[in-house]
Amino acid sequence: MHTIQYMLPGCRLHLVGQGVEDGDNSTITELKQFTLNLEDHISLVGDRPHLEALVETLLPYARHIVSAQAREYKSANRKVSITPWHRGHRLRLRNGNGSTRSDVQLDDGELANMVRCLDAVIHDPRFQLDITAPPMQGLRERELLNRLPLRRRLAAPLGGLALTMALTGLGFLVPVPERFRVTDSEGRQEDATAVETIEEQVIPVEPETGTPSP
Amino acid sequence: MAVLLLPASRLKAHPHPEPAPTVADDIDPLQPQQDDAGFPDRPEPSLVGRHGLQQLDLLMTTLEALDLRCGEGMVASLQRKEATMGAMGRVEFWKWRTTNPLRRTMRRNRLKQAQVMAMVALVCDMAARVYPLLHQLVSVREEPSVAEARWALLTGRLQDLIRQRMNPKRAAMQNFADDEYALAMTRTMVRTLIFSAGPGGEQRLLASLQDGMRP
Repeated sequence: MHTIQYMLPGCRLHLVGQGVEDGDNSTITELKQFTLNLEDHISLVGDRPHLEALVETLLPYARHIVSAQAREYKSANRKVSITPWHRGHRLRLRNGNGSTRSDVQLDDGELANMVRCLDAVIHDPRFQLDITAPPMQGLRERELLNRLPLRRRLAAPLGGLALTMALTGLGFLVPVPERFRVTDSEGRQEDATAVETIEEQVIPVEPETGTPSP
Repeated sequence: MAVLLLPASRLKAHPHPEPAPTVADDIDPLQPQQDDAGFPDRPEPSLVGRHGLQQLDLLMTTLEALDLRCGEGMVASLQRKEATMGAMGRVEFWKWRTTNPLRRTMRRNRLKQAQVMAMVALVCDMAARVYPLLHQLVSVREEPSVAEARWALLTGRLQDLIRQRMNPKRAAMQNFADDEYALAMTRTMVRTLIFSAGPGGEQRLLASLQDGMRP
């Protein structure tokens, strides 16, 4: 069994597994167990799927905090999930068969310690397991919508609507020129003429006899 | 008649000699060129947008507010790392930082990708150096009165630096005069810095600087 230990301020990570022994440059190719201690009051013990799940959830979660867009993350194997909780974060862990669940409350400092530890592991050449950080990209415009307050987001469309309604109302107040104006009597006359014209144009329809013409 | 008396060799000489060949003559302008990557004025796609440049400079200003020696440290660190990029002094570094559109004196030139990457690496490096200070600030296990005093001190320093360097006509900078807004912004900056420290911090910070650039 080989061990690698990462000692960072406020965080200690201990990896145990099988690998190649080479003095200080011992490598781990198969992980048996890891132990993560945070400031001596939180201790997490797990195996490779748990470490993979931690990398899969905590690193993208931290990336979203950097953009001030924290949101819940769950690992694909449902072993680890993390969500914003009051002024900190709630890390939920499940055991191998998913029967027991434990919640850990973390503040920003503890989460940052864990993230630094995980960074140290996946960037270490001695750790030769295929566990990598998920790819990170800039957020799309629609993902940043809640960066602006609701008032500012609604200001432009509501202002445009109000302006359109005001201009339409003003348009009704503009007087119509004399030559286009239709008085009530003219209107009635025009209506009557139109009815007469329609009546004149009616073509009487003879009933069909059904006999063919010679 | 005098022309006829000249030797034949003189008569053969062209009255308008060809101009001396230049480097540009090697490329035939009529032929389509296969590769124009060496063209000096070809614009390089920008790595971060306007928001990213603002954020980068504000993060550096927050680092300076956290530790007064950080400004000197950043210049020294750049001089060590970026020796290949030419003469790197505090003036050159100041020119990079004045691409922030919120600055009092602003330059409109675009930063090269290598320069942006160097600045991102610098911020992450300095964040790792002041990590204990950042951790003290964000930890809820600290005494509340002490934590409040630390935040007030940091916010005051940041407000001073912003008043000195940023354009006061900008609405975003006018908001900094409000203590509550300044405290909220300081908290956001410190949170960004603490999660940017460490080996994977550069990827996280660069991705956040590119927010809103994806369609």
